[in-house]
Amino acid sequence: MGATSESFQPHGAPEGSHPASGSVKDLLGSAIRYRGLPVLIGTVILWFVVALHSHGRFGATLESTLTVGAFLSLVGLGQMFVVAAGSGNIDLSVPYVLTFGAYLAGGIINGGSGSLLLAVVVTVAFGLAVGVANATVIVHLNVPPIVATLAVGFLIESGYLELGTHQSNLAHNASNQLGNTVSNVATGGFGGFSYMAVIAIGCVVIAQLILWRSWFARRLLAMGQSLAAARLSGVATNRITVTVYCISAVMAALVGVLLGGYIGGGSLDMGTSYQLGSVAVVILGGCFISGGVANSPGVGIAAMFLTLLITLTDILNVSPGVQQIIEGVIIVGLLSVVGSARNVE
Amino acid sequence: MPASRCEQPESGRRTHPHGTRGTGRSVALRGLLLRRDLPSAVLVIALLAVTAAVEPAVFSYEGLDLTFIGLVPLVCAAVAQLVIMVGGDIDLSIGSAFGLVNVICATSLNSHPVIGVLELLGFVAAYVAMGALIELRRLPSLVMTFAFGFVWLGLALVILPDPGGTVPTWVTTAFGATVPWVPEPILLISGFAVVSWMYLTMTRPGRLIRAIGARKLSVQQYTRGPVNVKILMYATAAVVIIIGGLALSAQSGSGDPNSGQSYVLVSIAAIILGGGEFGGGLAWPVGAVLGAVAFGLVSTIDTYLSISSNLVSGVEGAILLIALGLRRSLRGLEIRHVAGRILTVGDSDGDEAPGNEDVPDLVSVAPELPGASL
Repeated sequence: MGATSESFQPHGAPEGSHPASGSVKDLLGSAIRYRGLPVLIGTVILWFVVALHSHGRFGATLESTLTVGAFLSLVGLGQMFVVAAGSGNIDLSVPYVLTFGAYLAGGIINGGSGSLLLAVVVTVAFGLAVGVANATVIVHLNVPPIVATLAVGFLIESGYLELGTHQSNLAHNASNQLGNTVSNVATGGFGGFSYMAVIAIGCVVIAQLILWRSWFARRLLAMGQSLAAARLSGVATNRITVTVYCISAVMAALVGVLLGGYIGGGSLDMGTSYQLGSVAVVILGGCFISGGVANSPGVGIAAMFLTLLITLTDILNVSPGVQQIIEGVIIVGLLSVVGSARNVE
Repeated sequence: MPASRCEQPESGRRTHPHGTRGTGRSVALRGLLLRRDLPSAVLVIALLAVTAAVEPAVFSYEGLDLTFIGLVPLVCAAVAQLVIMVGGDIDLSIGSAFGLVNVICATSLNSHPVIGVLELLGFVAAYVAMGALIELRRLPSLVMTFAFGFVWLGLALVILPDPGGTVPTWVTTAFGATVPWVPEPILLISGFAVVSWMYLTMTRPGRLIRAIGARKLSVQQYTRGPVNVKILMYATAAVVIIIGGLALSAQSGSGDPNSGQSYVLVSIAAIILGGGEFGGGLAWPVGAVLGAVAFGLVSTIDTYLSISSNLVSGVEGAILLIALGLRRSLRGLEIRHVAGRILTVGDSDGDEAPGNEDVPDLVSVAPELPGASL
């Protein structure tokens, strides 16, 4: 935690983003130093292992991984913007926002009888409200983000637990609560591509374009590298803090709606694995936990990596305990590699 | 007085010398108001008062015993987390680690005590390895401990796939003893507060852990390296986790790999409520213990007030926000307080300039260290 010396990168964008610099050697060098590389290699290896295990169906494996991993990558992208702001910024309210989003939209759509548009608008508004609340507590009450977002998250959790108890139709009669349109988007596809994969890839590209080209991202990354310097050069750091938490919360709330459609309704623990999973993909994807460096394709690939890892432990048919150990050891190993790459510079 | 922020926590001292120099009672009063562990202490007293109003029967020997026995593992979790956080790291694997100790206690420690003890020693070694890896590879502890949490949980599930097992009777007896006058849990909790305070402020290992959290480079120069300190730090935390895990086992009477999961976030929240900070170096052990007690009491009182269990986490979140908001408003007072003291007692207090908690690196702990070697 905290700004360590290795966080002061001279340039904000990942190395892979300057391919125009000339010779093949340069290209190769920047590819080797690319922060997403370890997780990319790990993903490809896992993809081969999993595909060989399922009788060589490489295409099908890739497609299902893209679909399932899409949810995690979307939440991870929101988390990436928050973490990029540095100063220990992190959004742990994600799982609660996600679950509440699913119940909220489910309650409005009510199995297809309500308006989908209204549900989306209300969900986005809810996300914005949570983002503003998180940022307000952090900026004005000066609470560490890890505690602030958690406290806000607890309040939201109480909200949906209470709601779920009183309006029992929300919790129990949840099958296809979100209506056919949402579940079609979440599970369907066209021409061999699932909609979810397309949405996720689209969002990764948009996020990377924002990171490369926008004033917002420049200010965000400057703030992540040095809060004081950014503030002194006139960056409205508070406004950026509000923006990143809003991005994260809106993404989480919308993913909640889609995930609800995918699994056929809201469930109370649907968000649990996204809390630290979203942080893990940000780090594995080559972003700095101390902020200032963000890499959107890396986050997408890391989400695929974690998804493949869970698939692998599923098909290996080992006991749940061994499954957990394998997951932990592989993440630790990969992180050690990513960390060492950081030390070389 | 050495320019050391770390002297502040024991902070009768912070106001005492100046109080006798004639700045008077108001300064002492303000000093008390500014103690960073004050919000947690006030909260504990308030919660006890509410309990007394709702359920007077609690204030008997048995009532207090029953109320506080459940808080012992949580207090241990907060102390273990404190040791890690003072050293500048954070431990998200603490919940799974509690589950692992609980499971070992309910299986091997009962059937083959020697193997059980060896397993617990292995657990300490694994914890130390985790700390060394984090330090040597310069990895973010937040994610590394999160990943190691999978390993601890996995090991616990391998040892005991389903909840069950039996906790040895000596563990149950040790944590359920009848002590004259004061119920045992209260003695244990006060003991933890005092011992952790003494460890972090009076012993050399404790000083080094604080130093590494506040200013790593200095430790690098004056000792054989931060790795040794990190090893010490994680070993200490592991031992405290074992004590807490045994207390947890004594309460539940059986093993459950997931029994400790709720401690991860509450232990961090307890430290923040008790006046601690992220980023390391600042130790408020008494505050951390009081914070843990407060969070434990909240769920007890919710039962007495028959508040729906759905709302417990919401109440915890609200309390946390209110307490931190309160501290924020006290900080304005603090700036006036310190400014006033600089004016009255001269420049010797320059090191306690307003806001120095926010900028740990401005205040050096190096003067403490030349004699220290590990």
